[in-house]
Amino acid sequence: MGIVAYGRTLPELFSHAALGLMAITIDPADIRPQMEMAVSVQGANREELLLHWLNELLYLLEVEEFLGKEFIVEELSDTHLRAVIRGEKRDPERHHFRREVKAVTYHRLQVRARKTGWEAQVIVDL
Amino acid sequence: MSVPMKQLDPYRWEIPKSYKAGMRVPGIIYADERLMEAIREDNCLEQVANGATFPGIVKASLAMPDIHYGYGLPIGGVVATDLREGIVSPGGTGYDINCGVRLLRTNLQREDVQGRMKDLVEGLYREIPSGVGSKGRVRLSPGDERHLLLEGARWVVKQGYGHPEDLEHMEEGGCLEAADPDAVSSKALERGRPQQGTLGSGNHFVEVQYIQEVFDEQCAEAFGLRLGQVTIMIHTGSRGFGHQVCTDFLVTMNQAMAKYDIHLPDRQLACAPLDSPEGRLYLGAMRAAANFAWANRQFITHWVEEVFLKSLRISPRELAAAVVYDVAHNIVKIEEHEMEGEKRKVAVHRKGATRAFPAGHPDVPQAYRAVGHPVLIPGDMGTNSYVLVGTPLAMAETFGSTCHGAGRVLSRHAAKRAARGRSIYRELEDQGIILRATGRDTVVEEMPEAYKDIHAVVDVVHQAGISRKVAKLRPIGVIKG
Repeated sequence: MGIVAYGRTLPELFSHAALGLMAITIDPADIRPQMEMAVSVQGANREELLLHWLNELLYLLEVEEFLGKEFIVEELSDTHLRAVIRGEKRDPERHHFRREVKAVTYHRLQVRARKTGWEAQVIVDL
Repeated sequence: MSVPMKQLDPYRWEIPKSYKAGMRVPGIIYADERLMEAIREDNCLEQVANGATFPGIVKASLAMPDIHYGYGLPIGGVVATDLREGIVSPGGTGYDINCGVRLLRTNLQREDVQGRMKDLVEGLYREIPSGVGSKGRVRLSPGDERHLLLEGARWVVKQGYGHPEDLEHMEEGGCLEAADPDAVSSKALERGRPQQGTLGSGNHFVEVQYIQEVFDEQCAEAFGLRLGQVTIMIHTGSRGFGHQVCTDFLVTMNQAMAKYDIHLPDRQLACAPLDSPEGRLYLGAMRAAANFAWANRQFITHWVEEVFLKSLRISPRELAAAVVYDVAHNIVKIEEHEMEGEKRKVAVHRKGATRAFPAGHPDVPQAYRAVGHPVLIPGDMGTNSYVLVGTPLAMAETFGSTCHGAGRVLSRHAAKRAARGRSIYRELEDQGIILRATGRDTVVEEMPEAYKDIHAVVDVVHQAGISRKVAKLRPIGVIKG
């Protein structure tokens, strides 16, 4: 299963890819943006940075039980990303998961410029 | 582009070494014509050819009949690399390190659980944490986790879960030596701790079954199996721990590739020499993840037994639950194999493939030494699973390996489309199978027709002679994440 994300700008692209990942796991409509998490990730290049960013969301989900809904990318270079995520802690009563994402893969991983902005492709292992 | 293939016999196909620049050995695929039709459609043959480009690969890039498209190597792939000149590849092992299968036998017959299956399945569903984000019932301190990573199922038995004799009937006795918890990132440790003792989701399951058919009386008897007997199959792996170890080392290996001047057609195949700091660290971390998975299946075994005792109100003696065997089907192991009359140590990557060692092999437990160790092949939740046994031909041809399951044939999306307007629960119940699952989408994505015909897969490995059919198991109760 995978995500094809688009963005007018690179920060928007990274933000949309994150939303795509969450939507594979759970219906984003069920998440309330009531707390914030600050995240900072590094990568060797733009694609690896995207991979680490999405993997960070899996980590937050599994370890902190934090579900993200709004992803505000505040700083972005080819190798560094700083973002604030708005969301909430998992509430088993309200949150029903669709499926589990094991990992974000390098498989056909791509970030490329398009006429009107940016496009990314990410495949996840379920 | 279609990959050129030469059919060697009814069950063996070869991708010639000349197909692709960089291939060091040919590709060999085990399949019959019908399975090959499906295999040709999903591009996994290209991945078999890519596997043949690994530095130090010996003999061939092998693929089992349940092969399907994976990340890097196909699922169902077997690659062995020379210990001195070869590489080790996290992508050649898979994300779910030591994803594997355990089979328990009982002293119950099918009649003994008739009319009790709803209770049993409900009990299993309640007592065994499953699904996304589920937390284990065990609370591990960081110190506990370290012991568990070093000792695997052994540590869990020491804590009072299961029986010491369980350990005698597992691949590696439920513990790979030389695990290195210090090679594991803090992220993997953190992801792992709360997930120990959980089933997970997707294709993982606990299944109550009965033995529907016995093909080989002598082996079945050695394995303690008989017609109509109730068995329980557990399919799960190393959870977020293993996934994180694989993720971390893909990054490490991608950086190491330039350092060691290794060029491969797919980044997901990233690797490093076995004899390098990166290679050694990966092996240490991978072994820790393998031990995490054996520990996980051990905890679950204990809870399964508890549920049976409580729900059927019988004594442990009456239940007589025992581990038949436990196999890893995503792993890399250092093994000795004979090639051209010479014994060589190789790193056997089994990614969606099962070890199948024959009678007489020193790694086969004493109790099974006369027949070979059991090979456990889970099918989809509506069909059958199989017990096979290893053969000498597997040693000669496939580094003692065989298939691992049915293998997907429908994408999750296609499965969903096919399930529209149907109740998979009801369809299964009509066939005498009680299902409980957590994930809203798991049930349709995992429905029986999403998988290849398990009988066809098993027939190929049986006919090709790389393992032999012993018994066929029929599900009567399933829990899924």
